[in-house]
Amino acid sequence: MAEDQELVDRLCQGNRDALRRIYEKYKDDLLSIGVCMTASRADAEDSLHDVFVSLAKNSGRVRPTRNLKGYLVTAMANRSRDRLRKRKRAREVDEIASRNGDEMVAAVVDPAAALVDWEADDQLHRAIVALPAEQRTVITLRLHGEMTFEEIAQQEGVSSNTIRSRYRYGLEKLRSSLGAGVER
Amino acid sequence: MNPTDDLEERIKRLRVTTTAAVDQRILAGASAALENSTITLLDANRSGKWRNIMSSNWTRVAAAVLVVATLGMFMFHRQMATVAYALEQTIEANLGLRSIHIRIEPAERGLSEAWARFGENGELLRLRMSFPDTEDGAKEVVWQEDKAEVWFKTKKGATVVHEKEMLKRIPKLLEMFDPKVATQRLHEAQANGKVSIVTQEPLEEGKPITLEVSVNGSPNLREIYRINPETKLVEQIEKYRLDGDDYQLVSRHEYLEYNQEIPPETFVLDIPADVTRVDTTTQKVGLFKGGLTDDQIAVKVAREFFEALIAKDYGKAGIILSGMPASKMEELFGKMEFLRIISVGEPTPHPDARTRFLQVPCEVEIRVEGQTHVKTFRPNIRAVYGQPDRWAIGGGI
Repeated sequence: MAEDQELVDRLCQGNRDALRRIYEKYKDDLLSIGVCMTASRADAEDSLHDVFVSLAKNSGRVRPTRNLKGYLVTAMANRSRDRLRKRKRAREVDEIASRNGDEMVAAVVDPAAALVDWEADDQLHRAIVALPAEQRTVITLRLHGEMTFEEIAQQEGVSSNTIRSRYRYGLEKLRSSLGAGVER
Repeated sequence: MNPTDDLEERIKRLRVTTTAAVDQRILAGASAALENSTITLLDANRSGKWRNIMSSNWTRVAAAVLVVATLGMFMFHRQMATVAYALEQTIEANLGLRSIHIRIEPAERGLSEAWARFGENGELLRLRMSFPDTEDGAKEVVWQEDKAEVWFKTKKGATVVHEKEMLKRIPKLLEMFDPKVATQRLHEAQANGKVSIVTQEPLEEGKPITLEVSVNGSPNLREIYRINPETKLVEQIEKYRLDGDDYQLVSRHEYLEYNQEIPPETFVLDIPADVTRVDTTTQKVGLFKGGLTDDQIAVKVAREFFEALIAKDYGKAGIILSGMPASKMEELFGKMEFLRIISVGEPTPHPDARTRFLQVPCEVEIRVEGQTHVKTFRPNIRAVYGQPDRWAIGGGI
């Protein structure tokens, strides 16, 4: 896209506005990918942070070969995979311990907020997070990252047929867990 | 429409959005990285100038004299220093702590600023915490031993907490940022060989002592403690994470004021009159459980809530919904017409077990702007804080 190319050019010259515009434009797509892949908002936010710090630091050398979004999606997927690999039980325990206080404050909910949980999107999100990591990765890279099966296959180091199967099985499981169990 | 129709489109629309605090943190980190990449270029130019200067024989001699003189002054200064800094001095200084004002940047766990007053034995007496951007919007919390108040500024709601277990847990959030706790833990970690500390004492008067902390086995992490050379109290803690070749600032805790008199009004929430207040000590909330099981009372609460909305009995619905005033309930639900309950399902535990909620799926027919819909609601229901024999939606607060 012409706008993206211009943004990359300006970023290469150290332009902060370009950095901010790129962030605003793609942050939610990237965060959605991170949350789906890691099933953790905190990890996804950290990955998003790393992606943009790295982009800024290497701004003089950034030359997205395909397109800016593809470059960012790939970077986000790589960071999310790293976090999944490195996530250790001890760290999770630490996080839970440190959340205790916050949990309490969050538990003092606004009464109307108790009703927010009713929406169907919440069920869908929970169903996605419950999928095996490899299936939700393919689904999110395909639907949020707008990547082709071939591109995902290249990233994941498996055949595109395998990726297509993961995608299909993932969607079937989602349909099943959302209660319909149809369209098989 | 079948819930799985357009599944791919629904997933595409299912977006997670960042909060303002996250935006701030990431843009600050990325902007700093962008700036540093520019500085690196400038430094390279400076190195070139340095090489030019040092190419002169005269300047080489002058520079050598300057280095020797500086080294001599440094050695003199070190000999004059009587006691080297040790972390125990800060732990000792913390014993006299009576009040503190903390700023956290970017906000962590939603908390950006806190004021605390301590007693003679170091016990926490009063606490105020500011949360500018949470899932509930902006919040202010004031705490003392037997009572806490929470003001949901964005949502224009306020509540009073008296439940003992909750009151014990509120100050635990402060512990994450308490310099006493931080230095004590650092001292223990050093003693156990978990961290290495490099101490740099300033040659220049008034400059802080710097402790560079590296976590053994985790080379990606660094912490910098800045210690006031006079009081030995912590002025700042910065956390860094390695990204590529550079350490990037992740967070900064600033300790702005120690032992200053905090105005009493700091610990009183200045809540506007139009804010909805709920106090579970002065009003009954939810429904009496009696001999019912948890599942039974959860179903009863869900059913009676929707029955009250169908009857437009906003008073009763409000009592079940955490004690909300009837006027507020009408404001919230008056635009919807609740027609009938189609089904009330079996309760299931909330996905986050720590909330202790039971969720009861309820299919209800409603009419909004002339259109009739069947909606599945899933109210969160549990015992009311401070009224354990009563159950309500939203935990009773």
